[in-house]
Amino acid sequence: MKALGLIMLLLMTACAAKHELPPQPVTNPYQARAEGLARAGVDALDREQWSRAQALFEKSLQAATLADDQGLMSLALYNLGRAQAVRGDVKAARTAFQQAIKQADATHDAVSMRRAALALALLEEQGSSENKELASADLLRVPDSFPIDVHLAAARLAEIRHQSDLAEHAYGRVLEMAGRDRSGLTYAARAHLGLVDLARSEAGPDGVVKDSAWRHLNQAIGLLRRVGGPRLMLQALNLAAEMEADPARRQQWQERAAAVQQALHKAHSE
Amino acid sequence: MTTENYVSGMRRKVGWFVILGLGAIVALLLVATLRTEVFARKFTLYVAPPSASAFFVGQEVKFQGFTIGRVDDIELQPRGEVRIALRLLDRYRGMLHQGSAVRLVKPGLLSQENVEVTSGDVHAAMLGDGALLPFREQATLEQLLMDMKPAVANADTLLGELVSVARWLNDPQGDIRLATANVRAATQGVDQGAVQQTIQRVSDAATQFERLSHQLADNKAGEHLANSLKQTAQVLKNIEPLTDELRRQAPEALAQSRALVQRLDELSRSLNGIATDMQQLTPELPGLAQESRNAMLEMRRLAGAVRNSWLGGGASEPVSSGSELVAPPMMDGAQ
Repeated sequence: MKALGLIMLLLMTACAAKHELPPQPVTNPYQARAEGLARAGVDALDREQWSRAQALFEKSLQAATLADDQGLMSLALYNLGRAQAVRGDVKAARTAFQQAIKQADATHDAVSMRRAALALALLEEQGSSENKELASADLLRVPDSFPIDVHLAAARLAEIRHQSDLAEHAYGRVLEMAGRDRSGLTYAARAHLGLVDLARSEAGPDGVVKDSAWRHLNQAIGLLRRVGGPRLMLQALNLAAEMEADPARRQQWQERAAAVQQALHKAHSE
Repeated sequence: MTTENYVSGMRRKVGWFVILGLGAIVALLLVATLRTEVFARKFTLYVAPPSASAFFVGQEVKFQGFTIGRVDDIELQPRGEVRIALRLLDRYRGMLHQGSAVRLVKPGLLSQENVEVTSGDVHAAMLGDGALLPFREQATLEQLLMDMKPAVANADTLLGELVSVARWLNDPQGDIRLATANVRAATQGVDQGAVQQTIQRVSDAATQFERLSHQLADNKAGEHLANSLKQTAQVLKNIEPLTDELRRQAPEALAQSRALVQRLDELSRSLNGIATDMQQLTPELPGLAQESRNAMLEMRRLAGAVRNSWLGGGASEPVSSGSELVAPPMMDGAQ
């Protein structure tokens, strides 16, 4: 009994050190609505309901504007740009990202600014635009304290620009930061897939991929099986099919990828 | 001679006039009968609707928008059942199969109702003469309005309940708030009784949650919310036996306390989900929902702090992950 009392005392003291009674929260309903809609939009994006995601982010932007919360406005513009980019509306996405940068700049919000700038740079890299040089090399050097999504975006951009060291460092940072929740594990899976790409690009002249590529790919597939993410899984299976040297096993990978692709297509058409 | 010629000429003319007149009448009769299908082969189908008020003799019977016959007879059977005979053209019989039904269709808001026959199962046998077809009621605007009334009333009730849930969660003197405050207070003291009191509060909250979830389950519109509440109630329920276990097994107390914290965390996540659901359901609630969510976030932070403390053995565990408000960056293939 004494041992239990002692343990509880220590437990409570540890908590007390971290917590004080907070003041009664007063919430701006428009702010709450903007956050709720942003959350629902991210969820819709995850479920590949892109038009719904766009509509939710548009409403989120409207609510953030009504709340006059510039941080949320910048976030909503970034999210809206992401939904527009996914839907293939590059022009609208570019405008949204540019507005997000402007908004974040006005409030000296370095994180939001970097997030939108990286998204814009990635958009330009993936298109055939001539604005690719807009982003400076400093963009890729993300402070460690920045959120995980910014590191992942920087890693991807560095990878596209063949700056392997920076990309590897940023992917490593993503893996360090990734939590154990679904979102964290999904980020980790994305980072592993990025590292597979990096390892493949460093393949020897004989074309044999490094063992590390397979290691990262297996980790990504394992994580994706835990958290679910059919689009990422499809990407992983396609990578495996490309990397596999044995024709019989390659065919197996291809068949699995085709099955996922077919199921995804069917799910979309329902 | 001249008079005879004149008379015979007149007779001829009158004869022609009469012949042409009779011919025209016969031709008109022929056309009329052909167009009205008076002499076409027909067959009869019967239908027994609950009321004959929308039917009348001579009313057109349609199939796919084409008139294929008319209502031939309406009669009240000895047992009070309505029986309506539909006289249909035989040439359309091949299109009507077993499984076909009769319904009343209103082409416009103010137009007269038509009797319509459906084709039935095209793979089944054709309908025989004298077959009795089922009558299907088509929802009219008036019926829809009547049906909507209780649904609107239900929605009102549900909304009221959601508001009360939100207020209850947000009530500074409410169980959840007090439970949170008690946990907080407990962290400042050494009295184990405070923790027990907290558990009791949470347990009471579970009962209240259960009651609410049952109420909402009765209303199908709130099924999703009710499920969330049910899960929450389950989480809350599990806390009490855990504390008993904690009391009995002092050597394993540390591990058990970590599990308790884990449950508290699950609870707060579940409640967060409810708050988000409520936020999605109606635009009037976000403020209240958000405030209750803040209370839950506080509980989650508390649970997180305990878990991450050195005592919980998780100080070095990385917990940071992507914000649920931020869309992940774009990647090839996976968007």
